Amino acid sequence: MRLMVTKKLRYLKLYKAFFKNCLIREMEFRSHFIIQNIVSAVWALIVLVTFLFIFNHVSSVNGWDLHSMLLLTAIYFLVDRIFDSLFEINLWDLTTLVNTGNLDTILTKPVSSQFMVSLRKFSFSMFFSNLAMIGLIIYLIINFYSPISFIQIISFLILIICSIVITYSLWFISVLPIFWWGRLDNIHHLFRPFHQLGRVPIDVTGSLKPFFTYIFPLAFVSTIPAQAIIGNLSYWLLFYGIIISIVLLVISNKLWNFSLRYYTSASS
Amino acid sequence: MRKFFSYFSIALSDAFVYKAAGFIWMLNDIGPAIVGLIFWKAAFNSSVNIGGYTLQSMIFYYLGIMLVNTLVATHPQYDLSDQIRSGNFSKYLTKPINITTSKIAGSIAWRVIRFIYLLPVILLINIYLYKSNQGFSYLNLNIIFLTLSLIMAFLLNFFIKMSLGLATFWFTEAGWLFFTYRIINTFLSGELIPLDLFPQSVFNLISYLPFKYMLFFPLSIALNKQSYLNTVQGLLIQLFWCLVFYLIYKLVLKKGIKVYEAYGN
Repeated sequence: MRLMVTKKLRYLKLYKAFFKNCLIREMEFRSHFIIQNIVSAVWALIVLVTFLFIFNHVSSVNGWDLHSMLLLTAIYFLVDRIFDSLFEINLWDLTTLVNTGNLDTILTKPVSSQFMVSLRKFSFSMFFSNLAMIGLIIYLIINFYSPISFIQIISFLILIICSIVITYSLWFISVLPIFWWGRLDNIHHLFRPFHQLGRVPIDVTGSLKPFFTYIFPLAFVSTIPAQAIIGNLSYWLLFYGIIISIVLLVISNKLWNFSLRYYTSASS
Repeated sequence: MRKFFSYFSIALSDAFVYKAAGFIWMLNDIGPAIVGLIFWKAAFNSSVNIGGYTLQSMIFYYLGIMLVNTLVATHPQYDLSDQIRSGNFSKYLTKPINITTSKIAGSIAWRVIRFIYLLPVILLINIYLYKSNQGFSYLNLNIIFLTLSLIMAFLLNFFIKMSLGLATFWFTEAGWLFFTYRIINTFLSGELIPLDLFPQSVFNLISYLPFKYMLFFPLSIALNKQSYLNTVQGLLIQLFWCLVFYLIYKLVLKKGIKVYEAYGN
């Protein structure tokens, strides 16, 4: 037990060092930091505005009205930006690491290599966007979804974490073929078009909805967290969300270890 | 012209090497349109007509977006940016390689590959059109106007992206610039939602900006949504923007070469 705690502490300490390192780097390029932040916030605002325009012409889509669509979009971008900052920047690097053989330096470190390749860098491009999205979510809750119960808030927060873990696991799995197809240097973009489906309520997929809820759980990206706030969440899905997050994370780890067996370490 | 074809064939074989990468880019190109389609299909469950669109015309719109984007949306800026940063750009200065011609040839080669990927989709659309008898006929197409507007859309796209790529001379890291351009363009070109669903005043304003002429405008010609007069007027605006960005590109190139430091060479 004691050993496990120190082990966990080591990871925390390591992550703190990564984070500090990136912060120092980022502060060297301050104008870049501000521009990136503005751009990623603008992108979210643009998508929100298109929904304003669409809902000028329709009143609801599969039971989702303007406010719930805005809520869903805000959640999508919140989760997407958190994922970007924590993981995406690292998944970009994985391709290069594998192709240049630089993965060696990570494999020889006495910590989990999946942890290292997934969390080594932290991007600071999300702050403005996330502040705006959190602000929008709170605004929508106060004006349209109050009173909201404590349980609803807790389930929402749990589901946000599930959403991040599910996005990470699926995305991570989708990059692993790089060990076999080294030339595919844009493989970190493979999952993106699928992830886009998280931008619309999963109800619109009609008969495919169970598939996207249980098997390829894109419903957990934004639809189900939004339902926690709207108040029509079945608590079975909260339970399932936690289970599937853990399962996918474990699968991603198993597949990572399996793929490593095919790593040829290009240069050395 | 002979030079052009050799650039073209080099780029074509280069693009063939990255077949799988091209496939992933294609998925990324058509992804948003497919998500849009799925969303609209659900929206039309409750109403037959949304802002003048029926489900049918909305499907045509998004399929058209995919096709036009595949044909005209080139991305020479990433490669150009890399070349400037690595010093590889020097080859345009020291060897008799014309940067504009070789980049255009390369862009067309990539478009050809992308188009091949879309052929099955096009075939499916045609089977669907044939079976459902929607009254859509290629004979109704104004081929001359459509071709003209597609060529100009391609060039407009090309010169804008090249100018953005050349910005690397000053910024070194220009990725944020490409991304900024992309999101503004997705919004104002009609890629996210049809521009005629925007409020009228916004739509009118957009008609004077270049973005619409890279996607929505050629598509409107293909879908026969415009009067003859509007089409001619649009083509003139398109030509105007092409010339403007051609001149900007030339200017940026001239100024950029002066600040170019040719690292690594």
